[in-house]
Amino acid sequence: MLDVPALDIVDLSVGYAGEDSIIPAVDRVSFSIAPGEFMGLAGESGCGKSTIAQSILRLLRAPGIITGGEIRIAGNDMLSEDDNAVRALRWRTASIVLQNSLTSLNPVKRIEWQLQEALNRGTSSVRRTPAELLQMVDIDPKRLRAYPHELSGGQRQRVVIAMALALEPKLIILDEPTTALDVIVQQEIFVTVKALQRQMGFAVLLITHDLPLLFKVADRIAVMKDGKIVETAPVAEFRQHQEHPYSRALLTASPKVDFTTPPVARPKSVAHPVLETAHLTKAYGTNPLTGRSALVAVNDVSFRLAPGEIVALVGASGSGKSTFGRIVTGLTRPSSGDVLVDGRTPVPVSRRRPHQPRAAQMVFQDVYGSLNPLHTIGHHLRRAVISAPGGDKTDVEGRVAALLTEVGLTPTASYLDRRPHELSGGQRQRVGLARALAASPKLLVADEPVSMLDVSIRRDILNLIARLRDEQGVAVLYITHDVVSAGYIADRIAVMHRGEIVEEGLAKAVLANPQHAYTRQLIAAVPGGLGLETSSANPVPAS
Amino acid sequence: MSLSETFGAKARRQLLGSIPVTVGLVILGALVAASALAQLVAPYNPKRATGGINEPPSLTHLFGTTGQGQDVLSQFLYGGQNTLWVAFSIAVLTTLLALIVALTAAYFRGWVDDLLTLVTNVFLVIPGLPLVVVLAAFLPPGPLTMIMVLTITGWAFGARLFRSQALSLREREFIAAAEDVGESRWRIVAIELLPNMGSVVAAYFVNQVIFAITAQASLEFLGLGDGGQITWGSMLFWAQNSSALIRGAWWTFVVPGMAIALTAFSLALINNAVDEIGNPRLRADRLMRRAGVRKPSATLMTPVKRDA
Repeated sequence: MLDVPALDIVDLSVGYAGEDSIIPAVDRVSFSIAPGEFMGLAGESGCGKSTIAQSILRLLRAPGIITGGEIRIAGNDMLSEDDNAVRALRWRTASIVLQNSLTSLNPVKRIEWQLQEALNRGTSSVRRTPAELLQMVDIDPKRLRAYPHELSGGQRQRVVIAMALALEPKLIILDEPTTALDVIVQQEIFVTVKALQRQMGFAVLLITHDLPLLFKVADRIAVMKDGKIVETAPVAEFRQHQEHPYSRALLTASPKVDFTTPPVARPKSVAHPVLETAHLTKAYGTNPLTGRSALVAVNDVSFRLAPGEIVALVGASGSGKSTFGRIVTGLTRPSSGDVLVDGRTPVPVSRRRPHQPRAAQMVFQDVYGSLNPLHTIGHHLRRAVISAPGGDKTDVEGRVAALLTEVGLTPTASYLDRRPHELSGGQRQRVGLARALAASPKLLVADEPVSMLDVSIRRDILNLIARLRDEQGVAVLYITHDVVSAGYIADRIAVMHRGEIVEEGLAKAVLANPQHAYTRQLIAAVPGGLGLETSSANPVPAS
Repeated sequence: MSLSETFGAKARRQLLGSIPVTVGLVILGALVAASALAQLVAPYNPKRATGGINEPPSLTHLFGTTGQGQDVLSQFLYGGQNTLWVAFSIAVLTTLLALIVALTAAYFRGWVDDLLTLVTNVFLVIPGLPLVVVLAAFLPPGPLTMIMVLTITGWAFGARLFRSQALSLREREFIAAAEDVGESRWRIVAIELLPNMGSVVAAYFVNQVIFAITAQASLEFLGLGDGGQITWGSMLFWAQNSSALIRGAWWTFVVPGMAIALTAFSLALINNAVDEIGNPRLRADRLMRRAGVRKPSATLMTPVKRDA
């Protein structure tokens, strides 16, 4: 039976029912995965990769419709058999791990119960126990009695993987399993998955937008674009040479750190720092009697940022970096310590008066949520200009047009009447930048401004931020979990860990020669390295 | 789901495209139009005895006459006028009151929220009908009393509903972005937050009309309305008073009863469609039906349709 592929897809087409017709999302895609093979399916958002992942087990929700082709899992036809036969194949022959582990687990049931439930679906004589399953994914079996919310994001994803493997399927589908997790946790999870794969011999289909990650873990890579697979190749081959121009573009688009140019220390500025904090602390759930806090998000942080400087604040999720950013912009108030932005304490949002001077302005992470879906781009920018402190308010339209031009959205007139859903993610983030610039701030606080964007446009947005700094002299506090992009854009890097800044220095110096153990760990976990390795192994062909 | 999306061109097309909604709109439209034109189309003065007592339907009196000899058709038309404007006023007022309380609570949070939530909860646990009966008994009967009483007792659930919706919207980043840009509080609530609650508000409003019509009719049937005013509820009250059931004069209570039931029915049909706009799952099911797939989405089995 070794010849039967774990997954065989022939000419699969999938569409979504629309008002007038079925809108195609996947167009005659074919590929197969050999038993025990680790296959990676890469592509940008909207290319149809997740649609394929969910179609395989016929879990794609309405209005999704499979419009043609064949899917065979270990020889079982998924499209012709009746519903009960397909249901019997789920979990036992193939299973899927989704991105959001919090919604995959039942919040009111203990882990043990949920693992047992997965095991009970099986009919085989060899029965594992929930404890064995937990041990399999390197979690202490003592945690069996825990509820999902008591586990960390990484542990929850491990539990979901354990459930997926409970009945020893021939294939598991991982749909962006670590996108919501930071790199260190991601690395640990894939070490576990690879070890289990060697041991149990299942095949893996990993759906991701992260090509460097696939280089590290996959045997074969397929690249998708606009519902089609444009290229399939073994990893070793793909690393050397990419057949399709899109694969090449995808690979070279991700920002890399250029270590060839020596780090340039910006001349020490004589001016006052644009941001200065002293012993800044933010604690949550402080008991007024004992003075103990349930959580110290920011712990005694003293930090300076010179005018026109880009500093990256790097840390894992939960390290307190976002809280720090919110304190700087006045969206959150610190528990103790001082913040001075351009020599003034940030005014809390609730006490702000219109037109009060504000030196720091925020750029948000969620490009989908940070613009009001009801209002036009023009409305967003006009309001920002009108509410901006000082300045001439007679020519609002002119100022809005100037802002759009600055962020590269031209011709400006064509953007004014559009609503956010008519723009791409990158364009939305440009609007977010334009809005932040409306008040001519001295400091931009950019909280993960590119993490929700496709790889191919991340570098454009980072370049835009750097250009705005060069042209307008605005300082930038770039908050990110991504060391590579930090090294790409920042002059200095500050590494935050558990609410404290553990290391701070010139960007390339920190990356090339990290001092703190946590920084080293963070850098080592980046798939594909910081830039040196892939850029030398992959000389960009002259076009 | 937003206001503009709820009432935008796409939503209108979607609404008008479905049969239940069309039926609902036609029934409601006919009822409202007939009531509004009562002065023109009503054959008789509804308060005068224009025929014999309890005459069954005939050509001179299409819906028969009451125990007092009044024309039931004319009463139904004039009664509709009085009933519907009171019901819609109650719906508008409860929705507004609920929105004001909810948005204030959600936006200011802290002690303001605590206080308003407490008040809302108190109004929620007060048993509705007994309070309404007591209030209506003490106040001078009339449409204004009716509106006041039912508004006071009817807003609390909406406030809870809107508050939870507003609280989740408030956490969205575009609210933080508007704050960061320096927008004033009331602008944020009115321009950024409120328009995003469109479908919830619309659905609640339609529900409130149903609530107001039935609650009003119940009160009047109990004799707590203004006996001199003709409404569907008071028609039922007089039918009961003149022992219409025993005398077999079914037309005196079936006509107002059907009027109330039809209004509620048509509004419920409309409400279903408003629901569909706000609920992606219902929408997806409709799209699947359009594409020719007849299978409830709850089965969680992606359909295969090869001829497409």
